[in-house]
Amino acid sequence: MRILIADDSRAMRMIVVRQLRQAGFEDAEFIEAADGAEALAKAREHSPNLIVSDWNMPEVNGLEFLRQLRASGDDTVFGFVTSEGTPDMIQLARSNGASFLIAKPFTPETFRDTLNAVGVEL
Amino acid sequence: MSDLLDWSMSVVEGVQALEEGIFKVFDGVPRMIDEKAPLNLPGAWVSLIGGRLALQFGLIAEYATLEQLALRFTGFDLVNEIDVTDAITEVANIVGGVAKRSMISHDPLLTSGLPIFLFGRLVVPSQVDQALIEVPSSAGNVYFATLVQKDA
Repeated sequence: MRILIADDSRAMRMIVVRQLRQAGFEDAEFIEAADGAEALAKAREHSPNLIVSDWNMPEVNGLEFLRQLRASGDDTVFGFVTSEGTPDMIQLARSNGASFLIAKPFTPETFRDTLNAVGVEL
Repeated sequence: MSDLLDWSMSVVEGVQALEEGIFKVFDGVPRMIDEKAPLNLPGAWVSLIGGRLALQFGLIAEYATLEQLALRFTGFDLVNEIDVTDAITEVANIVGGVAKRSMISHDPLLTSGLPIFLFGRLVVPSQVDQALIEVPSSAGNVYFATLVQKDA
């Protein structure tokens, strides 16, 4: 399984990878991107099975990344892990094709339960 | 001032929420203190602007303290300057995000900007209200400062 992690914080990318490994994805191949533009290019290059993205990023933000991805016909399971998470943003994420939004700070259980709920299998 | 007090209480919630997840970086109890913010200290700042609120929110501390927080946050054995700025802006962003979610019913238009890290002294206008939260820590005292332009 290939998982693309998009976040402008290297520390947060590493924490998300660590959480996913602990959630059972220890054998996954992780691909990292520091903004939405890089993430879009890597999504096209690597065809990941799951995309986990921050919302606020420089250059192309997470929402715009998602919109461009869906506009290109890519229906990869996509979720936000973000410090945002207001009701309006959750609605906006859903209406643009995101499967989940995990608000920071998260627990390992939140991560595992959310991925199970959207049918992401180990 | 009521909005500032509500915001500060939401920041305390944010610090406590951080401790309940995987990001255990503080080991003290946050408390609001009636002092001016030590704006000469380095740290990360986030702007939040809404219909009722317009504020600057910062996590500041002595650099050695920020290094310790970054080590705890990342789990790295060593951190360089880039790691510290990255980790501390992320911690400020997370605490600010929790506070924002708590305040969104008061101010549905509240929007946060990208956080920035400042090494130098923050220059602020004289006409600002301040709120300060101190989090005592074995790594040193950490401060969450909020600056709000006073009403004209």
